[in-house]
Amino acid sequence: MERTEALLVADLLEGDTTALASIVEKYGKMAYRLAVQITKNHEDANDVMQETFLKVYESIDSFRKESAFETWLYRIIVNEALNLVKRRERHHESSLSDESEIVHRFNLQGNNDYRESPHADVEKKELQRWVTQAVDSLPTKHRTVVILHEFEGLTHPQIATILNCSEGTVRSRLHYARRKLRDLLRPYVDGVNRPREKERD
Amino acid sequence: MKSKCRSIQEYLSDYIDRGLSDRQNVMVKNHLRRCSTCRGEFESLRRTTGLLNYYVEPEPPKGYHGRFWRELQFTIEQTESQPMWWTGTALWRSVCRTGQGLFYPAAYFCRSLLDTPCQWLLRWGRMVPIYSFIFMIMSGIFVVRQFMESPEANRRMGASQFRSPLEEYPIRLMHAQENRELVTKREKVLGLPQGLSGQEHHAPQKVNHQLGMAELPNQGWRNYGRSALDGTIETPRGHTDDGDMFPELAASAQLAAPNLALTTREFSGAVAINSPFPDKFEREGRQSNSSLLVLKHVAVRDLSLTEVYDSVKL
Repeated sequence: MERTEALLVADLLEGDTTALASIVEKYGKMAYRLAVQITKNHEDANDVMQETFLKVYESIDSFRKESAFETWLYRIIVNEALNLVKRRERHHESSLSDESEIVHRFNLQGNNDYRESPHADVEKKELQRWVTQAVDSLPTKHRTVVILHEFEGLTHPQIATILNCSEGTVRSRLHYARRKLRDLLRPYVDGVNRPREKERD
Repeated sequence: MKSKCRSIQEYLSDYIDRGLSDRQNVMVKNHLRRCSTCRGEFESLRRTTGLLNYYVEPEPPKGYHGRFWRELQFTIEQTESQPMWWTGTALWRSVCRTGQGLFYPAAYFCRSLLDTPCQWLLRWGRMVPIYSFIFMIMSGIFVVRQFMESPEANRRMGASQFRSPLEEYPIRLMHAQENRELVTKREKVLGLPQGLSGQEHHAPQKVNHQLGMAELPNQGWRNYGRSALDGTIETPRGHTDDGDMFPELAASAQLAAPNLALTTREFSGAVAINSPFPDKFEREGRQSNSSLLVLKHVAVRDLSLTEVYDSVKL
């Protein structure tokens, strides 16, 4: 039987590693996704994952039940990832090629949609590449807000808690990021290369 | 652009997210109905947000989670197998990690070069006890050396182990005063304080203390033999060095000075009392010769070298 979040936390507090295994199973995919999106490469994301779940295991006693466990976990992942990026920038270390990471993502995704024509498929892939590259090219702090809001579906107050900043800052970063993305995706936004698929309302 | 448009455009992002209050929502909605520029801006932002559906989210490689969990398990097992002093509260662990940081500046420096082994080293800190031990040994050596170099330590060590003739001499003098009359007589003639004979030159620090005098320039061995010769004895040129080197001779000579009108017997007794190295008179040829030379030049009356030598042997 699947344990509830509260039960997992209680078990983890008693040092039960199976609770940690369940947490990794439940949130591992999200953690990896978020870590890769912020650090932009697999190796760094793996480091972030290690540090994150180790911290969860060691510091579960510092988890205050005022916020949700998920928000606490998000906070750890984002902080670890941002610290790693900051460290790399400080030491002028170049991370692995962003381009190769994107190619890797496209290879993983594969061609699963058999209903689409080859032409539409190429067009869609092209658009995906543009959008993915545009998001990845945003400055880290703006990219983080976009990821948390647009892809993780978190609200402004939640993001503000995770990033330890004001809601106003979150709104302002999001607004800036959208305008920047609009400039980067101008041909698609203006309808020159308008995709056939229905856009999100 | 109008200022109204500018302020409305600031709200557009929140308008898309439906994050405005009712009043702000109505205001933006009404403005967009009237202003084509702002409507265009809104549409472009909305389309941009829509395009984000095409963002390809990263997926972990096949079998990644299994590998990751095994790695994590290994890491946790390692953490739990750490010695007791390493594990503990979060505060203690952070203290340990700080200590680690202090002990491993080189490891941190090399981290970029040797990322994996250094990370392992820094993470588990297996070498911490060894480095701590080395650090403690070095600290101990430093503290002991500091102590050894302190005047207090020198005084203690000198008193207990490395007793110099300088310190030994007055003690000998006090214990071996078979002929107190001789000493008292000399003190009277020289106008010295009673009972401190021989100490004013030989142990200036101690004597200063007892006499309540300001500190005399103490050059140790070298000066007190010389000063013993000054004034009371006519010291031949070139032999003051002997006095410096063998202060007991200078002191003996002082006691045997002609103005004290000592007898041979008295003189030999003085030598025996004053010499911190009575056995050296016999053993070392050079010292004996030098000593005899000095004694010769102090012009002790009725004293043959053989007699002096024989007296010293006593």
